[in-house]
Amino acid sequence: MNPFQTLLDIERNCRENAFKIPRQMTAERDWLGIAFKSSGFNFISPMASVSEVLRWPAVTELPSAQHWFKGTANLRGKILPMTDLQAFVTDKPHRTKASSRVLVVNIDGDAYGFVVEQVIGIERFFSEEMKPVPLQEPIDDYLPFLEGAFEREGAPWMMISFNAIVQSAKFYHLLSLKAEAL
Amino acid sequence: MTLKDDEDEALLKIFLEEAKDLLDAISAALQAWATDLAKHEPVLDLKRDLHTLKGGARMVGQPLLSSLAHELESFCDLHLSGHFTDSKAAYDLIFLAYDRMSAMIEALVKRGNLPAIDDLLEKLKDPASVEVAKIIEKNPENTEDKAKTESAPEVIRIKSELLEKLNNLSIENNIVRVNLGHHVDKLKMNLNESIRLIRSLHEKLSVHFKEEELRVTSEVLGLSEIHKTLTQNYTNVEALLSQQSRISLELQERLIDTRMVSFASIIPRLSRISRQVAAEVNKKIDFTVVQAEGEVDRNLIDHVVPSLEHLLRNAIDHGIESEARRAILNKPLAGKISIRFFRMGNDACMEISDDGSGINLEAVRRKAIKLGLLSEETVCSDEEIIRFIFEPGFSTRDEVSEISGRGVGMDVVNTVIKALGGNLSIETNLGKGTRFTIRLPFTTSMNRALLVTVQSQTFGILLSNVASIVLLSVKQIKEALNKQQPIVYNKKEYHLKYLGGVLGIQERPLISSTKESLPVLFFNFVDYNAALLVDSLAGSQEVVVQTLGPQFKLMDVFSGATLLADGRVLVILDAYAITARTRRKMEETVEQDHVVKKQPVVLVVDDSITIRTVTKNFLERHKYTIMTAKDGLDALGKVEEQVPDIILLDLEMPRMDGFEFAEKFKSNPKFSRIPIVMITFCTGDEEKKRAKDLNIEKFINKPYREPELLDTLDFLLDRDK
Repeated sequence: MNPFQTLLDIERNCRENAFKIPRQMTAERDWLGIAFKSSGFNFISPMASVSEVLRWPAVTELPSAQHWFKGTANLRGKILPMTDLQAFVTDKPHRTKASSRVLVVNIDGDAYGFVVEQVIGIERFFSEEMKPVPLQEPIDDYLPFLEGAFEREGAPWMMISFNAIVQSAKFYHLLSLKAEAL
Repeated sequence: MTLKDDEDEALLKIFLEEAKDLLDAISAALQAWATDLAKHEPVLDLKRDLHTLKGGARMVGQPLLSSLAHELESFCDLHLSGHFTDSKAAYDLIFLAYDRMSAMIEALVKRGNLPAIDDLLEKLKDPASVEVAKIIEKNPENTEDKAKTESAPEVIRIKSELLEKLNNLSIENNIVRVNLGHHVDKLKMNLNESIRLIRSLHEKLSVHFKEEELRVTSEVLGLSEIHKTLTQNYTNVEALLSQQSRISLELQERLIDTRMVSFASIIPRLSRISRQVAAEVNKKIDFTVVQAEGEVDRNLIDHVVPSLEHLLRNAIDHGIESEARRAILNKPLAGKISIRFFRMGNDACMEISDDGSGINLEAVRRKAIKLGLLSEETVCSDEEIIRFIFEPGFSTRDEVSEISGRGVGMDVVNTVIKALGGNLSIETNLGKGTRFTIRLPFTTSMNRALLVTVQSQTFGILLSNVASIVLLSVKQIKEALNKQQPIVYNKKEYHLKYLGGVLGIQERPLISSTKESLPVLFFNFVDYNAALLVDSLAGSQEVVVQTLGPQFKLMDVFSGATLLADGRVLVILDAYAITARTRRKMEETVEQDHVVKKQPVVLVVDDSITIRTVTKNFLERHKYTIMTAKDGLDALGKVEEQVPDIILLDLEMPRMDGFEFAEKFKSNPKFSRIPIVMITFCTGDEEKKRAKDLNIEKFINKPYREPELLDTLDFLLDRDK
């Protein structure tokens, strides 16, 4: 056997026994999203729906607005309206923390900011991890905006749809009850 | 040149612009047809474009062009009906005609003589020839290429979105530049500080080190050299920045210029409409343009032209009397319609006036009563009566004509103008005529905004809406607010409202005793007047108003937002909606006097649950809304959720005591004006002094006496008993 033959053998062996690269293996079955925390639970949103993640910007508050509407910020020359996700969904006042981040979501050409507790990063899930959405407080409040859930290490990861939030009627009722009474 | 010539010239220009587009479309249709001569769609497209061209050519008095288009149109019809067996021959003839038509337009652009078209007309009229004749194209002499070189300034078309985008980029660029300026300024400060340090270091080293160790100081000298270079760099940066600043501003201005069109450009259209309407209603009209100065934002003009046309139709149809009637009234037979466009401050004003019969206010009044908008007994001022013509479905005309009188329109006109941030006013004189004046902000994108503050929050109000700004004495303001009496200014009555109250920030202004007067903004809208009290004015500036987006569609009080030089967002208030809100609120109050007034919110901060409960019950009986907190820390959270009107504060509490809370609370500009009443057992001089230092408004001994507490609250909240 000449050396070249040996090399060819090695190559063939490698090809036959090699692990496939992850992309080929999982392309059909995995799910990639931005992971973040809200109400202490893990949520994920499809990568494509979030265009950027901001630290807390300088915010101009609006009088007479609902408690969940945090105000407007300057996103490179454009006005970004900012909604606190937890406060919006649970309807309980919620204060932003140092770890809070703003997810910028583009829907129909308009940018909306959603304040979340903390951004975890990019997470990949597999279809076998898919589980029904657990029914428990305060996840119930999020139900109208959820598209499903994954379970990893016993903890649920809920798929949230910002589109559903922006399409909900409540999203447009910015005026607080107190202001309406005026 | 006479006015008529001017108009014709302007109309021709508009037509030629359109004709070029139509020729492009015709050429495209011909190309599509050439790919498959059996197809009908391209011929239908062709026909439609020819039809439009024919109409335009007629309008501008080009009979040759219009008859060529007309014959071609008929020829297309023949072809579509299957008249020709040889589609190719038909195509060739149309193509030839298209070429000739282009030559004619070309000639019109250069104001040259039109090529002859008799040969073509003959062939088009005699379709039989198509099948046999080979058409020989004559090259008309007078459309030689030589004229091509002498050209008007080149004009290109750009999509308005692109311009809008460029404009926004330029604005963004300016914001970044201003920020950069701030940083460069800081850089300079730090450079100055570092040179000071280097010098002092050098001095110290030269004193403490011996000759042989001066090596160290020489390194310090090296630092000083670097510093010099840095300073030089800084100077260069500063110079470049100032140059860039000039360029950016000019760029911004030029971009704004691209949006502007001259007022005069819409006059031909208005003049044509007035001729048409006059002919239809058989009246003689003397159409005069008194003044047509300046330019206006293209967007604005596009939106406002239909309203102007409507007003013009109304004036001719309703306003101007019939010739016979004018003869009896001893008026000139031709009714006079005058148009005036001018700038007034930051507004573009458009005036349409007629010398007709004026609006019969009695007829309007009767109609309003008939429609149930007014009761027989109600006494109305003339201004109030005129407002009824803005009601949907309101027309005093008995019969309906094609031109006007259908009662649709005036309300639409009014709505459109309001939506553009402007207002419409009417002056009428029975028997003498009517004048409609539209005032609009000069451009829809660049505006001047007045910056006003309420409870340390800053808002913008477009200056174009503000009629006047007056400093009124505190006494006058208190009287107007407490007794809900109107303020009379410039012979008009204005109901005063506090902006903080309208926005739900703070019901009543907190007027410090040192203030003698406060700024009040006066607004004159078509249908009402209003006055708005603000805490202070923070200057005015040019702003580019951006929309707040779809989420705000239900919030009418905010008309948009703009970015300030430091990058912060400034919210622009809609003066009309804001004052309408106060008006509605006022009317409601007047209607239902028994309705409970909004209760002041009192935050009771005390670690004793007994005291919290007792105070809560006591104050609730006296029409206060109560919030409670068990210590300073708890209170800081509570005030974030809802801002109270006043705070009753205990001194000694766990986690965070009263002084600590007051210090944190008062240092927040948002809260600094909210009064605090400290209620405590410790009333030593030291505590009193500390309370004074912290701007705590009042110090009361514990246990408090109920009347004393009520008096204090009334006094600090300036509450009507």
